[in-house]
Amino acid sequence: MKRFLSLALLCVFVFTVPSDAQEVDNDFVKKYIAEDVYLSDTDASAVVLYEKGSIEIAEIANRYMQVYKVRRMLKVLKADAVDEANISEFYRSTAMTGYVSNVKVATYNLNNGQIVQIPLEKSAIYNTDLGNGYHEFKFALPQVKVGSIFEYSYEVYTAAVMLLPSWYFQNEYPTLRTEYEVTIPRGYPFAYVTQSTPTFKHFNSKKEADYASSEAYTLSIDHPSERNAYMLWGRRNVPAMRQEPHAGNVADYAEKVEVQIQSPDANVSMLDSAGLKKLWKEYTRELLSRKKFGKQLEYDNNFLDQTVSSITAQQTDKLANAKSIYRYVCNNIRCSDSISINPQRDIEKVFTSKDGDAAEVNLLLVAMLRKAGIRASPVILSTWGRPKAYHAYPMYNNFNHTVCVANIGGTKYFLDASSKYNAFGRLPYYCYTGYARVIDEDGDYAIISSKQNREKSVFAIKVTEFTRNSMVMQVTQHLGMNQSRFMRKLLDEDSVKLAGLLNSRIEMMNDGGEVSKITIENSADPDTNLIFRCTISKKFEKPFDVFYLNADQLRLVSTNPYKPMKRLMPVEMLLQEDESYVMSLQLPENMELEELPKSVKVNFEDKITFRHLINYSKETNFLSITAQLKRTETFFTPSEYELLSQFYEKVLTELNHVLVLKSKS
Amino acid sequence: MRPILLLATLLATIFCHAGERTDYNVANISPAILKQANAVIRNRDIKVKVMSPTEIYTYEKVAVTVMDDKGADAGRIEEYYDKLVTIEEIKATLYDRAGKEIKRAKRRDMQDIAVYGEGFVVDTRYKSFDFHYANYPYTVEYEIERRVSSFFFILDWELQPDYNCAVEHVTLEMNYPAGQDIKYKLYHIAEQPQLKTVGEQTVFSITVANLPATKRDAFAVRETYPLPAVVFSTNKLEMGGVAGTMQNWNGFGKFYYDLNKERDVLPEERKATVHQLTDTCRSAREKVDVLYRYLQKYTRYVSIQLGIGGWQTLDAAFVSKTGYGDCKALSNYMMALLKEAGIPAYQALVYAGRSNAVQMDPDLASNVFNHVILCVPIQKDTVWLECTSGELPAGYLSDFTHDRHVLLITPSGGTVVRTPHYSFADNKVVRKVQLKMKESGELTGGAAIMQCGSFGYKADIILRTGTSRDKEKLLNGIFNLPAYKVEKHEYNIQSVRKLPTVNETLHINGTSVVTNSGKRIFFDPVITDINIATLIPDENRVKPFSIREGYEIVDTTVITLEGKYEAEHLPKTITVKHPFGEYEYTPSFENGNTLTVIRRYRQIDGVYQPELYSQFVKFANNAGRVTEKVVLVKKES
Repeated sequence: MKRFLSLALLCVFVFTVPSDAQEVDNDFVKKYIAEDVYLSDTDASAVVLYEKGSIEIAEIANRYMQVYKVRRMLKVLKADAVDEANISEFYRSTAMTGYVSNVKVATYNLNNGQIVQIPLEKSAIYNTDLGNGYHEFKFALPQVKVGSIFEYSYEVYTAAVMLLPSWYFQNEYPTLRTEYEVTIPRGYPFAYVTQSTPTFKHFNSKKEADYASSEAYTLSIDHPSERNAYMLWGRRNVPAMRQEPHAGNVADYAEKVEVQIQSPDANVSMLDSAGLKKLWKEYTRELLSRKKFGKQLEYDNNFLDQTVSSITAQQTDKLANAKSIYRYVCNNIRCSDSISINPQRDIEKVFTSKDGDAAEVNLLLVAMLRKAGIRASPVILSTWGRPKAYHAYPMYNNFNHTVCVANIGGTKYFLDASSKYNAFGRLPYYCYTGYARVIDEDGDYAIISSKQNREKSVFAIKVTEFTRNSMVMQVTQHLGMNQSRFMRKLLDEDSVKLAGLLNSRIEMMNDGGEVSKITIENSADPDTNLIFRCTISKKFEKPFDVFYLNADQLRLVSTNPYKPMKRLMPVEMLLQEDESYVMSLQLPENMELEELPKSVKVNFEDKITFRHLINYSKETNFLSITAQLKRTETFFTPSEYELLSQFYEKVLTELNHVLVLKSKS
Repeated sequence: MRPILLLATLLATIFCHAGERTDYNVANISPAILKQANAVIRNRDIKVKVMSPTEIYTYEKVAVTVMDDKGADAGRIEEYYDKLVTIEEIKATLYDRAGKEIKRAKRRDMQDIAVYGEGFVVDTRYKSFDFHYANYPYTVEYEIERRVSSFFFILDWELQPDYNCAVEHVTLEMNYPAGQDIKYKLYHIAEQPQLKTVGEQTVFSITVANLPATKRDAFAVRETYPLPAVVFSTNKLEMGGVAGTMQNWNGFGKFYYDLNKERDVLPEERKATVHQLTDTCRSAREKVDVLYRYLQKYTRYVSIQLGIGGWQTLDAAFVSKTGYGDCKALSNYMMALLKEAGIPAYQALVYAGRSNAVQMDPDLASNVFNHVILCVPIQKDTVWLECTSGELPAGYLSDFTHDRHVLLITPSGGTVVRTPHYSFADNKVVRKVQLKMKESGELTGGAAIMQCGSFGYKADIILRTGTSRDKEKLLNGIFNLPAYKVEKHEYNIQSVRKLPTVNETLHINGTSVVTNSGKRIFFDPVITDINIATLIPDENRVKPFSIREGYEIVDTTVITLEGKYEAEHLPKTITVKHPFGEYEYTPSFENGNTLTVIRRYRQIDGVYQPELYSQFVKFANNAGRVTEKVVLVKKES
């Protein structure tokens, strides 16, 4: 045994087979091994029977290390969960720090009424140096199939101490019991943020918490006489939470806890608004002090003088200067990674090489704007598809992207120069996620919500010729700014493809007409809306006596995007929409409108409005049709989903107007 | 001499770098090749020295000019290596547009990164470097020396790396001992190589110049090498201590067989399981089905590719013990199970993939495979098995591996055969819908749906293994109605003519889109979708196009209305016939209240001349798109 241990210390991995029954909770296995469905959630492909995570900041070999321990036991109910038995864990490792230890693994199967335990060979544990200081260790549990229970545990030792892993109580499988504990030296205050449906009930001991029937429990030990502060959170019977369509990241709504070590200066008990403000200031100050982030913005940066002067030479207006500088950065600095928060190179290198990632490019923009006498600062935010940042506590992991804010004449302009297709004053859609922080001396927050991302488009058809034999239409489409951005990129990357797509779309809309004179305006100016124009000419097979005019050529709403479903997550949209369709035509002299449908208006409170107005003047024989779908809300609760579905259903049933034109008798 | 110095000396002796091109002034690039080019290979000098079948050295010096940001990837260095192919030296230099040197990078400046996401465990890594320079155009030149442990890994050389990359000049020289017989084949190369004997060495060399950038066509015909390439085969091959030949497919197959033989021994316990399961089966086919289901239930796909493990399978005992393996290991394991049951089976090497699959060249054996499946020839029948799938029925291959040449591996060598091809008659949807509709648009009724082939397979997976949400989504996508509810849904899943076949019946209540003007009612007669993707026209198509999957969708919809009507306008009947597809749309109105719409869309797989492409695009974009409504006038009661 001693020999084994001394050898073990030399190895990266120490693997121990559970040597006797005490190490494995056989009752637990016996209880669940024969189950083949989880009655509370028959959709569940697996159930997490038990899991526990713990973080300990411990002094090992004269240095503080973070010890992360995980234990998990899972019951497989359906085939698509079998791959959960392929385990991998990432960790940072530099020089002599960073290793995995004490890996324990077992699969349990029921074989002719007997529970059979299958171990894992030591050689089946793999460790890979990924590069850049990251490692990955992995193993695949043996003989896992539908009905198996498997469990594993391991310990990861790393040097990182500030950023602790988040712990999710809730994931895509229901969980019977899950716990997370932290043990941190009292010299390192820490803060935590929990997100859960039941409130955590506090207990004085683990024994009490174990015996209580609380769905959510917590206990803490923080006595001056103790070396460490300790906290534990536990949850029982956590339902599954699965990603749903038309929603942001499921992690925003999943139950979780996040823990972060603070600097010794911060007094974590001061969580009133003044205390919170102080903590955010600390957070901002830290970023401002980083050489490749805020610190370099304080320098003279004389290498920018000539360029900034030449850009701003002809104008004195600050807004005009800001636009010129912004456009210079967009067009001249290549961005290798459009989302980033951790600059690796300073702005002088970025400027000289004309290359950088998004953080580096936007920091360069800040420096150039400041050089031109414009108030500008970096802004950090979390992009769409990631868990959102929130104000409750400064958590480093919450943010992943850097943009810029320029204050000109009392107006704030948010800018992202990472792409030449981004308009001045408009961020790419994925930045409109709500809470953001301005990194300057004031260290204030900003709200960049999807409601600020307004998309207005107009599709207009003017019938310029209309006889019983033919029709000519002039089509004009003003695209919204988001769509314009997308189309400009496509135009650059594959103009042939774009032309083909447009052509096909128009042909599909118009049914048999000939499309000509396609033009695209404003393609070179990302700060404007793209405008497409074309002419559609139709010759009818024979002169008509009755003409059916589809009053909804564009099909603003062609299907119901919100099919009926049970909903747990809210519906989140990336932008506000205002889409209009206008058609005007002068009827031929010998034709008249036989049936004039009534106008339609459908509302979903004041959040979404659909209007379809048809106006006809008998005197002038002139017809105009206007349809508009306007949505000002970008967030709908789960309980509103059904109403949303019904709104679109109503629009579809109401919007099917066909105008009947007949020869005058 | 220390080993590393010895190697460096050897490499210096092998590769003389005299007479190299180094003028990288962008102004000197011929305009004729610049059209559509985002990058230009200015020069690529490839030298291969074959010392023996297991000791080969390669040297490459590549200079690529990055013209704009779309070509930026071409200027980033990413050179792969593993235990079998090692990088001995690598360095790079950056030049500006005038060809003036700006910066250098050595091996120690480059990142060393593990390949991630290509399998559960792989040992492939790569050297990565980016000069972070964006003053276009600029040139990156890099040199790389490799040691290769088997001829197997240097058989093919693609001289034009990508469609949007032009090539000014490339030279490939291979120097090999006289006893090593090497054949070659050229793809899309007009120039001819030179072969000369120098002492006991043979030198193959070829120079290719002025290859313009080109574009990838949609619906391209599958080729082995769509861009210029030189491919070699040899009579002497060795890997993992196994020697063989690769001069033809038979030799390649024998080599692969020898590399993997005797790895099909099952433990006694597993042998007993086989007999327990199959001794009472009445036919060989039944045994195959039983054992395949056993494989699907008790194993899973986990890819472990270490060292020679990319080509040599983990043995059957390993899979039996762990319950997992990659495609080779699972196919080998299945083969072992069948062998124990007295049924011979053979592994088949294939290039798997949907849209980008590479075609084997029947004339030249080359390493074009990325997957292994299993072939079980039973009298009057051949059963193909995809051993990595937990869902596919025995005998059916999805578009991942169907309809292509594969190399069957037998003890006597390799044989080229073809996997099953499924035509439009095999991939089918037939829907019969009968509904009663009120003037308000409310409707009620039922549908009988049959799906087989690729449609049946997709429906099968969802119905058998999907969550209730997946099933809900499937049912909500059948009809193109504003709202409907499926009140009852029944289905059965079978294998008919070896095709996964799903038969469903359902009853719905819903709403159609009806406009009621008082005198007339208007409604869309088509309530089911065909779902054809929008195609992009290509008026300048030069190459033939290939439709890989044929299928057919037949819809019969009968809507019986409340009340009596006269049809004022019915959409016109459409009949379109092309070599590549047919479409029929036939609406009719009878008895004053019954609308019947029969719609048939057929896409016919095959290879077609480029002149037909624009017709195909128009056909696909227009078929199934019904904009005309039915207009009925109410009769006075």
